[in-house]
Amino acid sequence: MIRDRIWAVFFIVVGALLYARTYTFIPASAKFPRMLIVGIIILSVFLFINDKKKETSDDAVWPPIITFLISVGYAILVYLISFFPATAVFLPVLMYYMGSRDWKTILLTTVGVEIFIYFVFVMQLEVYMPRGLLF
Amino acid sequence: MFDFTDVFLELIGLQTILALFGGVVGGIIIGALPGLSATMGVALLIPLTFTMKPAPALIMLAGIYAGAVYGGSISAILIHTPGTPASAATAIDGYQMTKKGLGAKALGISTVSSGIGGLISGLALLLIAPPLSRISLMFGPAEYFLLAVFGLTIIGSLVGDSIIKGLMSGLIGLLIGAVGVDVMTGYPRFTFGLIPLESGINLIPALIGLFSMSQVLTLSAQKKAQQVEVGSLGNVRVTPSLEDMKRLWVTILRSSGIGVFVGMLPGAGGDIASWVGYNEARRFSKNPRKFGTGAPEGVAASEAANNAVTGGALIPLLTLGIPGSSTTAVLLGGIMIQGLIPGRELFTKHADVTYTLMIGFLFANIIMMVVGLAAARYLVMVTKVPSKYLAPVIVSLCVIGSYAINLSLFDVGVMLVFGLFGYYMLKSGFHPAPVVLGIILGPMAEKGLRTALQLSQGAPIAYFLSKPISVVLIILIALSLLSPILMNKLKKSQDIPDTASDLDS
Repeated sequence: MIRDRIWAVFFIVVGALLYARTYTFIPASAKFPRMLIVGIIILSVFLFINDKKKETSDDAVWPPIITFLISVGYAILVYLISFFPATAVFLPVLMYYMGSRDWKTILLTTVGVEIFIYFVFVMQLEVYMPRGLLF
Repeated sequence: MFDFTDVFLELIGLQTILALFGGVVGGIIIGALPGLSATMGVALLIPLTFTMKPAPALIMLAGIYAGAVYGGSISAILIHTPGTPASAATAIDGYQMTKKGLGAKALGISTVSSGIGGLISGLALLLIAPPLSRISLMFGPAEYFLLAVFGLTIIGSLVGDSIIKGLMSGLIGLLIGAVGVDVMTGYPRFTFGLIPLESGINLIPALIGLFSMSQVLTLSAQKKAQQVEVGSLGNVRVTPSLEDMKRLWVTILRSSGIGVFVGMLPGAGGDIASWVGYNEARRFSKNPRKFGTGAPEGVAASEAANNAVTGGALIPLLTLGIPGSSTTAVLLGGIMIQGLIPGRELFTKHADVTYTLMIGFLFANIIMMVVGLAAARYLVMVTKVPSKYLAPVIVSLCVIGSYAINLSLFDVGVMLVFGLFGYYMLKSGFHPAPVVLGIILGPMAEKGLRTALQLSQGAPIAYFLSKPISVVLIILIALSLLSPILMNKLKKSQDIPDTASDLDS
């Protein structure tokens, strides 16, 4: 219930800000977004009012955030040292974080994934991999 | 109209065959893996289809869909954990059979039933879709706008916690779709000065983020490392005998019919079909008591129905662009990224692609059956992969997939942000499917509305009510807003358990 209300307030606030933004648009372009934002705000009010009994979830709080941050770090690493080296760093790190301690499997999986992506994306589909800053 | 030889040549082309096999096998594995769903698999593999020709691309995606729906039965039967929600009914009798040492037989029955169900739905697709597509010729801007609204309301009303949240998700999706240069005036909206945003938020990275990356985050949050005890296959043959088939064929046929019908209804997916199939089989059975103790009919009914949904759901998708479920919503993205638009055009201008797809779909189901029967014992190993290895691999695929579309790291960022957003949304009862649908349909909806308003010259209500299809759509929209109530009644009458329906197939 509280969670729903937080979302409702979030959407109302963000909606209001975006609505204000539409004043910089030319009128014809602003109509549709405004309709949508008004709709979202109205529904948010309903959401706020609607009293629902919610079970609290037993999901851990930090793991998803940390996983997300590690993934963001991965993306930055790709930008810096190009895709394949970055992946070689990232995969073991995340597997370790998620609980694996079996270095053989970690190594095998990493190599396997690199080969798979190379074969599929580079050779078959001829995707130009991101060039890193350093190499 | 079009050349059958073209279709034939396309079908035996190398890329198509690879796509067929790769899609079906990949789909089966994805469906069998606990923690992955059909929707997520399709989302993740869409970037691969980007550089393929349209026909192989669509065949691969359809193959993944069919394979994954079947694959879910593998873990349902062996570990009592449905790999996808559509296999929940299969888990009941399937697992009982495993406990009796008949696991292999259950797998065999599931495979054959899924294949037949899929084949029948493929035939239905081939027969119904082309004539049905003519309806889209009668669609003008007003109808397209209402169609978009209908698609959003029906999916919004059936997913997630409540219709309010579903509709909100849809509106959010529409708003995200509005980011970028306004097609009709050229004015940039919500770009905040960022140049990459001027072409809007790219659909595929958002989709991958919402469905795949968010699932990774969900996996990371699960506290208990789910160590699963996989049931043994027993000493039985996998392939069902003629004896078995004679007893089951009526069940399979009936369930397939149910599945096709349910699949055609927008908003109703594999899970509903499998329960209805299961219950109807029980009703018609001579000894209903054995259901729940390991009756092969239970497995057959549930699996035939849920695979029959796949072809059925493709009918409204291809003819009108209305997705019947999350997975088909993602498929819609995959279709549009090839530059194809659902509707009559698919059956006239692009008939070669569409017919190749429909016939390829039939082959996909056959391949699925063959692979399932041959490889059942090996597929079991798939169900044991722990998420600590799976999750990082998926992240890698998410990253490279999002990058590959436009060779843009910005898109990777989009994917990650949507992943985080999607995770918290899911936790709070908002479902990502309406968001994706909103992004896809946003431009079409807005264009339809603005053109219709122009054409109506100041009298919009009269305009919308003056056209018969418009009126029908308006009534459908009103009905779909009521559908949660109807669905609840249906579920209660069928004793379907009230898990927040994932519409994942």
